[in-house]
Amino acid sequence: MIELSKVTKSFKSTVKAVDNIDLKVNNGEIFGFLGPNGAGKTTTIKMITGILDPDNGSILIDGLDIAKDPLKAKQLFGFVPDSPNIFLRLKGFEYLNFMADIYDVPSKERKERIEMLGNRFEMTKTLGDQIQSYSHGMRQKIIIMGVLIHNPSVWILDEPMTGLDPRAAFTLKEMMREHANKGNTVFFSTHVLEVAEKICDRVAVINQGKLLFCGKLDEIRAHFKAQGESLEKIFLDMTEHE
Amino acid sequence: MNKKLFLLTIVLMKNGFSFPKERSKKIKKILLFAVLALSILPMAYGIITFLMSTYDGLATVGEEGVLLSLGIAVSAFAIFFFGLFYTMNTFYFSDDIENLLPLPIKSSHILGAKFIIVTIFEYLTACLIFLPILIVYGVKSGGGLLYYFYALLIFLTLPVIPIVLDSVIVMIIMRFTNLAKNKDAFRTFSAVIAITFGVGVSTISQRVILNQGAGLTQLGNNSLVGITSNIFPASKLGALGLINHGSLDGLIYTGLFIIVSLLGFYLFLLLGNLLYFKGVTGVTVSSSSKKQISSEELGRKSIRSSVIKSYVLKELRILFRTPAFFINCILMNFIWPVFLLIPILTQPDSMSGIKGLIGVMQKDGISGLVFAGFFGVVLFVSSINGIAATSISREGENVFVNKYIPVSYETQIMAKVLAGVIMGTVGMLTIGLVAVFLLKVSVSLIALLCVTSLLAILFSNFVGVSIDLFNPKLHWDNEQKAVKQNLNLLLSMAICVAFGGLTFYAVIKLNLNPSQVVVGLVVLYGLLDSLLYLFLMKKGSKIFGKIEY
Repeated sequence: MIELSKVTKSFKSTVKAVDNIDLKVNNGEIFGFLGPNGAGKTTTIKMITGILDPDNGSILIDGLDIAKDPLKAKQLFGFVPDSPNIFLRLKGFEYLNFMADIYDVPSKERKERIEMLGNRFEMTKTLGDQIQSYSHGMRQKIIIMGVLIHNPSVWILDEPMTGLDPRAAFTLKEMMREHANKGNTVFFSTHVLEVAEKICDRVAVINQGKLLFCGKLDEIRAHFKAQGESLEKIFLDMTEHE
Repeated sequence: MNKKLFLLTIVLMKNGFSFPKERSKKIKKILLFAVLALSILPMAYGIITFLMSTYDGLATVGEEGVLLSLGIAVSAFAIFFFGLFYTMNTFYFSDDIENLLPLPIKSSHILGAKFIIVTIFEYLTACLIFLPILIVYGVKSGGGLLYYFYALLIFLTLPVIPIVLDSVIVMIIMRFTNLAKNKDAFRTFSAVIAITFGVGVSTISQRVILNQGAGLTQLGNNSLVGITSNIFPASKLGALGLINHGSLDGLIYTGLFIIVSLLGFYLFLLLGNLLYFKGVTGVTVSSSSKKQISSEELGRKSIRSSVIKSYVLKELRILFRTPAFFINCILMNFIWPVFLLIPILTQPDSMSGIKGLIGVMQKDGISGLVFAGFFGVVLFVSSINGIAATSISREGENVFVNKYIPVSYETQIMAKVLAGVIMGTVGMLTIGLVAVFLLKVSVSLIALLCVTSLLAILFSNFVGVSIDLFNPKLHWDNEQKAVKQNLNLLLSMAICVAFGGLTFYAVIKLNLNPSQVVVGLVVLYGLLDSLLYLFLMKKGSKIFGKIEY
């Protein structure tokens, strides 16, 4: 579960990148965070994960405040950043082991998980190579594997589908569903509306730092009296500059 | 200059130099530069005095022209040496080539723009070495306007030929070897070769100069110019042009020098069109082995270890595998003992002298100084590797990773300190081994020295990390900028050198016996280290948490 209350963040004191956001992501659901480029998605995610400190408001991960109890809260989630270009000089399995060490995963369990994830993402043949020899999509996959290795209850993914081939994207979506069905939380940002439409239980739309809508997809249609309209049309109308 | 070529050069230049936009940061940077420039002044003064007296000495035998010809030859060599790195980076590893190739730009323009950039970089090298010589010669020989005009022309053309040589060498290597496919290996390999080459040349030239020094006085009328210039043939033309600036010969020689340089540039364009573009494509692709790891192997490799061990290993792996980091942070630890060895190996006579000195030092009266001296050297050597002083900067834009992983900032700071301490210790042990095996210093003395000096290594690493925490250089697009153009490294070096010097001075002044020195060092640095440790744990971790890209 992720709870944000009255979260605000501004850069250079004038522009509010995130403006007084309240958001609750429940256990057992896949939650899509939508918005155009520069809407405040990544800033919000950076605050949830402890990369940025909010100016105001509080953020709870499974009930733990990320500002007050950062280490314990960080143990609870796994985070896939929007750029997969990290740890490029490590070999695939070295990166996975590093992640497993800092999340304190026992030897036996990590081996099983590396094999399972390697098979599901078709990465077993490349684990011995440095990550910088990987293609964009492969880098994305290894980062996701590193995040899932400690089996966190809360998944936070920033644009996770970018660069994935269709099969990997399918696998990831499948895994997200399985994870949510086990009563866990999946929170991800995207601007690919089809993805959101297909797999999200609920979505929130953010634009210019403000939350425009939060709820189920049918509710969005009812709310904007746009029955039968595509999500794309609604989204474009909603985020149009006033 | 052609408009497109000009534009391309400007754009590539802007990419190469990143100057901060914010005013406060600008001022900070300018101040730092000013401090550094001031600290160079005494050295510049020393060099100019040295050049002046060299001129006077040479003038008495009518050989003052040697100063110019040797100056040009040495500058050309320095340009050639640094150019090897510059051309490699600018032509092959700047990562812009894949963006340039699809644009409608003539290939000769890309080559030309890159060449100009390297040339501009090299003017800095020439400024440091060649400019003082030109000015000293001009002032001393009473050269007129014409001299300075020729001097300017020659200064501007001087880098061309060395860079042509560099780029041809690099282009041939890149075209006909497979090294470009693994750019990390290539960079590391070529840097090691270049450094070995540089050390070798300096060793040999030391010998040659020493041997020839005797014959110098028997000649006259600038006839040595021809001999000294043999190292870089074209430099003879430049020197003769300047020496004869009063006559028509001067004009002809200077003109010839420029023509030869221009011909070199055209040769470069010609060869560049043949070699460069075929070698450069695919340079950003790294090879992979596609070898599957077996289940048993995976089991062996995925053993759980402590967070701090895992983190330190990660730091060291990245340091060893990133060429820019390897050259600046790792190789440095081993180069110093080698530099210490050069004079011993090249001049066998000095060996007995040093041994005699060591013998004296090991006597009770002076060995307090040996402790302080060794301590100071270790302090210096462990600070120049910059592992600690660039530890936060090296994270670059990925510093966000340090903030979301569930590892406390205290642990992360200590892991970074430890990585530096490990490499510093390796550096210290290398010096120790040299001392034991070549200088025959007793093992027990070295062991005691090393144990005491561990406090110096801790000190330099605590200082380094503290400085880097305050003002990390995170905005870089090329790893070299994180470690090479990083003022934090210079600042932490300056602090460590100052502390080393003060310690040594205090030991001389107080006239302490060895046991007093050891106790003094242990108490003083033990205290300093504890204070720095507390500072890093209490304050440093907070600062780390506030760092934003």
